[in-house]
Amino acid sequence: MVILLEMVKVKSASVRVLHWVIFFSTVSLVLTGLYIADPYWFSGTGEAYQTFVMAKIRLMHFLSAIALDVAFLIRLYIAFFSIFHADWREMLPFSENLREAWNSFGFYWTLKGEQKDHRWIDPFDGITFHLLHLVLLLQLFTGFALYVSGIELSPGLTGIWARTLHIATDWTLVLFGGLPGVRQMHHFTLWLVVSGAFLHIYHQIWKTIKLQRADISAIINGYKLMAVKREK
Amino acid sequence: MSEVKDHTTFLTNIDRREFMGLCAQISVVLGLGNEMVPKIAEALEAAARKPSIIWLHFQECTGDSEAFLRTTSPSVAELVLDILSIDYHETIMAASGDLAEELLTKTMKENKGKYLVVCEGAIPLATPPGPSGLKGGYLTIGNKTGIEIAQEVCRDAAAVICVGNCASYGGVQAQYPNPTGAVGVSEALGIKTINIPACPHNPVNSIATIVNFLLLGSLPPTDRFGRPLFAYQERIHDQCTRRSHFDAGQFVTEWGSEEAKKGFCLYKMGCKGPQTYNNCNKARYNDHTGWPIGAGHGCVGCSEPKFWDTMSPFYKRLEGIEIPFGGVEATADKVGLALTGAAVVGAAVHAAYTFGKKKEHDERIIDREKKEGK
Repeated sequence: MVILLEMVKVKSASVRVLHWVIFFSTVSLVLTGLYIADPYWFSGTGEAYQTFVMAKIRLMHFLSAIALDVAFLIRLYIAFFSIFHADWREMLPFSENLREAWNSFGFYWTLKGEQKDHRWIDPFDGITFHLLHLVLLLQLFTGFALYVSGIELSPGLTGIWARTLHIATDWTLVLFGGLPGVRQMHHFTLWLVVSGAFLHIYHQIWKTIKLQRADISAIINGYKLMAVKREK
Repeated sequence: MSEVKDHTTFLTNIDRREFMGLCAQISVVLGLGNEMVPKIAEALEAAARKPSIIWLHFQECTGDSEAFLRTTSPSVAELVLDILSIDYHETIMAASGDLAEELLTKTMKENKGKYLVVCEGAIPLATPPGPSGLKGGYLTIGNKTGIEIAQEVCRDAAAVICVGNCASYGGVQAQYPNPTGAVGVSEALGIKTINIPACPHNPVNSIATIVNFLLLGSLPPTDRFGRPLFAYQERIHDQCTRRSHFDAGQFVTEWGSEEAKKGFCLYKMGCKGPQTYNNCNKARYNDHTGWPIGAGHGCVGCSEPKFWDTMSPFYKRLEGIEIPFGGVEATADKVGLALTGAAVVGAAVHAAYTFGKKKEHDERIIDREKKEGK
């Protein structure tokens, strides 16, 4: 069998940029988060006024979190209103998507049968991205619940910011049993992000090697290969 | 002076200087300025508005009464007992037996709808085993269960103020497995109370709440746990004297070490300051001299609901605390690392299996250029 392949544009520049913003901020968040949870790598030497290790790392954590969250929200907007391709449908675990994702999962283990070429996000990816985004969303809410606990409800802009965050995140306190529970959940979710990101990277590398459609290239230059013609 | 008042006449008068000192302190705690001090003094002196206070004891250790009576030089306790009219307090009143009960009924009847109730201790709701088992029978005073007393006294009260973690949220006796079914007063009666938790509570906060009531005729605004915002709006962590060491990354890792002597941050020793709302560092205990972190011990979170369950072990960071994961107790780190490890092993197995296997059309893919070049 001979297959004709063609490079097709599958990802817009904004989606690619946002993907890497999310990637780098997640790496930064995991590293700084692990330090905040257990500051064992290095501790400040000298007098307290000469060093600012924990404060700087927390600042990095907060800035990375803001970057991630803003990128996340823009990505969510693009999923619905992109001028290139609105891809929200591919990320929803609907019945047809579910069936096809299950078939893909089977194929990944048996390598039997043909895989349909998808120009947009394939159903298996769509569902895993959906789950990964839910995990990130949980991290967003628990993170802001912890962050706002240190902000006073003063009058003025700070107070408005704090009240907004309280309205948005207070349900996590009820769900996970107060700040201690939220703290533990935030820490545990870190491992869900790490293992999820690992599986995602492995999966994309595997697909690129095994299916030979240049899947990784899609998130770098926006193009991937698609079969245009199959000859027996 | 009423007859009732005579039962507390062991109190002496205090001088003007001490009195104004207390007014200034209350003004600080309530977040009011200097100009409010005379008004606080006026409010306290206005005998006409002197509220009658009934102090009830339930399941507790009397620690809050002790704190109330002993702090900030004897004059405060004297002043409060002199300025306020504490008509019924099982520990400190002179009367006993029928006389005491008579006093209680009389106070309630005379000040109906106007008296303040201060509750100390949790109320048990479970029924003890045995033939004489009453609902809430783990606590009975004068043939009445705690819940009956609370219902009777709180019904006609102007406000109910709970001091200490037990009255506010149940305290240690309400923690798992909670054999007596203990709950806080608010939960037991289904009413809104002003809660002044901590173990023991800081009397400056309860006095400030009462002064707020005297000054404005209303109770202070509270958070969702019923704690007055003037005292419980800020975390221990954000007002800590050791905060600079936290920001500097300087931590105590062992008790009695050089770091501990230098007063470094107790974060790694399990301090729960980042999870706890209270004004300990501002108000302080024992005549404004000390508080736990100042004395070198981490915060245990005693002003938070269920702190025995959620904050213990007190000497471990939350990440080191084992939490139930479907029947297995393990730390978040252990479970998380196991998950990540499983993902890595799964990927390795998958890679070994699939790369060992040949896909049927693997070798025969050619791209357009190659074909066109032919």
